[in-house]
Amino acid sequence: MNFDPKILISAASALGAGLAIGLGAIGSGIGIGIAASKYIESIARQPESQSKTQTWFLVAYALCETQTLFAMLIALMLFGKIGG
Amino acid sequence: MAHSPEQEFSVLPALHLPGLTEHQALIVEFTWLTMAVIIVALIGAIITLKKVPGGFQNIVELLTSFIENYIVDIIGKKGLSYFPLVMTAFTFILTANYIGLIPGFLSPTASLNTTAAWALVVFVFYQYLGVSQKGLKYFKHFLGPVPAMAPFMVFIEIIGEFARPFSLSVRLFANIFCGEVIIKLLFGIFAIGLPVIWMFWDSLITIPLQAFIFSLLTMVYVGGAITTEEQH
Repeated sequence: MNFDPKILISAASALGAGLAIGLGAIGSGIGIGIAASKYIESIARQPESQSKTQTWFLVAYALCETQTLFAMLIALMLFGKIGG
Repeated sequence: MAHSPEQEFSVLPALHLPGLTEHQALIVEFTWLTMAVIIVALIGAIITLKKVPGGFQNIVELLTSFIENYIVDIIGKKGLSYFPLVMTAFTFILTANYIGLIPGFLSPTASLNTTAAWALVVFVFYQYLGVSQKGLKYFKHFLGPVPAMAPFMVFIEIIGEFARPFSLSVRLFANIFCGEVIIKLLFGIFAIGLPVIWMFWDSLITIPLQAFIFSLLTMVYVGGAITTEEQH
């Protein structure tokens, strides 16, 4: 029985790409959720602070989102190896 | 689906620059284009300077005072002497990000070379500032807050210091590059509709936010390098 190592690489790349983006999104999902909940809490407590907290919420949101994009970069790199 | 920059459609022909691949040459050309856009737009704004601002001058003044307010908030009044660096980074990255949204144009910031260059400029600048303003005392913060833990902390602090330019460049690159890849993917599935919605989201939220975050972190790093511990 001949075994082609390319098949194993393809399968592992497909599995890895899916796992990378899936697991990577968990962390930033939790992070953005915490940031948003605190942001809404602070608005409910002090509605006049909205203009000031809005910027910092968006900054926190972008910083959290970046982790998923790192994962997506890895996933895309692995995706290119499928069938190669 | 594998991303191949060589097949990218571009309105500019790739020049044969020595030592660069076709994609890198295109990135250099679009960097020149970005610089040309900024220079022409700002010279236009300066020539038509009015006491009562209107139109484009309004936008420029809005952006300038926006960054100025954040510098005063984060570093303090003395931070205003570093305003040119922060504003240059903000303007260049904002323009470079927006240029990539036009079909046939590439974002210079969608290449790690451009963002790494910017991050290195910021890194070298604030290290230089720290050393020139505090002297050898600047290196004391590498030892960490607790003297007894210094032998262990010094490695962590040094790694953390070098992680800063890395995360600064990769964050900007990943955001812009992945935005472009997502647009390409969506155009492969839907001809109209969803890709436009994504481009709208990208241009309204991601692009200005990433430019702002880059300049914000520049301010935070510069502020950390020049303020002394006693002021906290």
